[in-house]
Amino acid sequence: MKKIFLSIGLMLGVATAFATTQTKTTQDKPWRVYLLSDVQNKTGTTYYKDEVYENAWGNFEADDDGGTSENQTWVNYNHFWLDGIGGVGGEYNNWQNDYWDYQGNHYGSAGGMTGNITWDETGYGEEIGLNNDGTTITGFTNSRTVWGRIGNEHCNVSDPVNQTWDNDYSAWDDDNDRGSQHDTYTRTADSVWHVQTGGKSIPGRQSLWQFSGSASEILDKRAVPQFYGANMREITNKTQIALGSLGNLKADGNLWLTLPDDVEKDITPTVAGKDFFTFSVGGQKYLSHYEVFVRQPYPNYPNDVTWYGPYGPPLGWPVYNLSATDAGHAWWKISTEAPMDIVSQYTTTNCSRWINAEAGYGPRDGEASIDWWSFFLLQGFNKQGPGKVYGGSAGVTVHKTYVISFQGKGAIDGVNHVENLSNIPGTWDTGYHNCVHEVVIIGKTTSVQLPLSDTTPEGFGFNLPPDSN
Amino acid sequence: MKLIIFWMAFLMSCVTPLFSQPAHAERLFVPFMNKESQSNVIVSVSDFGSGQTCPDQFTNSLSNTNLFSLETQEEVRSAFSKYKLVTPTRGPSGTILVDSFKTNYQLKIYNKVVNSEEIISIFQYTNRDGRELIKYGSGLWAEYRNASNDGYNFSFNRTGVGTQLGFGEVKNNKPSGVFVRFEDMHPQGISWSPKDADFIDSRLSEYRQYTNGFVLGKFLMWNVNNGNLLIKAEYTAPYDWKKIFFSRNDIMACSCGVIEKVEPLKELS
Repeated sequence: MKKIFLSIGLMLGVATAFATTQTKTTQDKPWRVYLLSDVQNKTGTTYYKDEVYENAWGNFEADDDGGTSENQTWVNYNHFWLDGIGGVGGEYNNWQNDYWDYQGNHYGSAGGMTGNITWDETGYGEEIGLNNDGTTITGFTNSRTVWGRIGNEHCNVSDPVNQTWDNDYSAWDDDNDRGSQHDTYTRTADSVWHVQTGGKSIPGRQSLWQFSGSASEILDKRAVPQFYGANMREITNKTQIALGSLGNLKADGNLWLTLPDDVEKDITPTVAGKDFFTFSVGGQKYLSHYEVFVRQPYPNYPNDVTWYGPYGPPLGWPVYNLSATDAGHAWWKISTEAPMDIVSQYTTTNCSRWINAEAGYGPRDGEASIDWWSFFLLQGFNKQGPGKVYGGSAGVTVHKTYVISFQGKGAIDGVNHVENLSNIPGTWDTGYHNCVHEVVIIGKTTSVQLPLSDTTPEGFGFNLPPDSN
Repeated sequence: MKLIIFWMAFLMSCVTPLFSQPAHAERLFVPFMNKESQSNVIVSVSDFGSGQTCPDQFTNSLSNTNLFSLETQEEVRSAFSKYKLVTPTRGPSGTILVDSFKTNYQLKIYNKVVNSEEIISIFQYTNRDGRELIKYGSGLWAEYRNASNDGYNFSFNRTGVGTQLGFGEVKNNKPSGVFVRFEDMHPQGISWSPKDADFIDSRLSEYRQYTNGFVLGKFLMWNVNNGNLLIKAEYTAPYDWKKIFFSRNDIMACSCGVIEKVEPLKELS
């Protein structure tokens, strides 16, 4: 084994193991807004009795053709469906008809079935029914999905009917009609929507979310999903709609807020005072990032060690390109997917100008291409001077992207820091406060731990941890 | 082997005299090379600030006939385009591939192990007795030799400001003639490829004269941003640049890193 010792031209902390970002500690998860469960229970009974009785008056004579009919039904439908697991349901339908003619002869029939429904996790299901006579029937097999029976609703209605009548039709007949109807009808249903915020369970990480929703009151108490033809009334005042425990929508139908990553929240819309309504709900996560850019004087170092042949690498290699007066540079961008008008609600206009903008730190009156290494070489260990926040720079050779919070040691704190730095840039110092230092400091402000084992752009770029979600 | 060597104390004691040019006529040295090795080196400019105004005779241009013969100018120009499009299996025009193998190295630096892979291809000219050895990896290194082992070395290396081209004349398989470096000042961003190098407006950054493997004659470096001279030196006796450059006791300022080069892990033919 041959060892080639090369002078690298670095001065700080090569021995220090590079740090890892905390984002590597947990598993990244996708976010989703989804229907967690749907529960429905409908129970109805009817009892209908109608009697035609003889009542001869005037020019009409009784003809003894009256009779009595009775109808009874019992209906129950229930189901429970859970996202990702499937669900079960049941139907119970029984009926009975009776009729007695004027001579007391009885005619009647009765029937019914009990069905058991199972749905798999895809939503498709099958129903096996048991008739009252003991025979079995197949209600459906993988031809219907649970989605046709889910109404995205809240329902808690009761619709009883109790009425009697006695109609005198003597003007044209001898038969009068009297009867009664007694129905019971109750239905409860709840569709529950959740959001899984995804990402990693990193303490303090909060991402920006936009939720929206709508609701329409259902005026027909006995309407069932899919509510075709039912009379509805839209809830036009969106502020009446609350999304779970997150709060009420704003007048524009949106709700913006930050939520921790890797948590689950109920976002089911509710409308105070409304017992029967259907709704929609949606959500969008807006990621924020801390991006690090580095221009290394010799980006292929140390792989380029064998590429200079008998002439050796250039003087200054690998930390300073003498001829190009390039010691490299490090700079940053705090970015977010969120719309700027929302961002500006969380910070000042001055601060929000740093969102999605590349910026770097360096000596005042210098250029983005900072030859501070030459200062270092020429004039001593540290070179100091007034600092300044610049725009981005050219010639990036390393670009890393780290997911960060929106609020709470995240993008907002980051841009606030940059604005403060811009206003009070302090003293730029090759050894203690250069471009690399500020990239690390802003990283810390946004909860991204970057290694400061080497304060030269060359070494800093080399040691940057990989992208993180 | 993992070593961390800190040279700061040594460096800071020696760097300042190397760079500064005090009012009294203190002798100048080429920086990053140990002073003791420079007894036969006459340094007239050693200014790593913005440099010193360059006399016309040393203008950093390939067309400067004080630095380049017409033949060398043409050789360098043709090399620019000659090696841009070569691949491990396709050599310069007029050659055929005769051998190719891959070499893996492991380099340890900053407590990291870096895998470095090179593909070495050898091409033979079909119309003359000449060959090309071309290495591909993090950059490109090429050696053209004729039957007498004369020719030149050529390299593309990535820098933060673009691509650095190296060209050195060779006689009897040793550096002899001029060795030059150019900066194309054409940054390519995250990804880099020799074929995207742009030397139309490239600027001469370094010039050395070699004889029989040793530096002998002029050594010049320029600030490519303004054309000023950074170094102007005259080597009056043969100087083994590489030996001194790589010697642990001599080189550079502020060194603290150690690269451990492991011999090829495997070779594939």
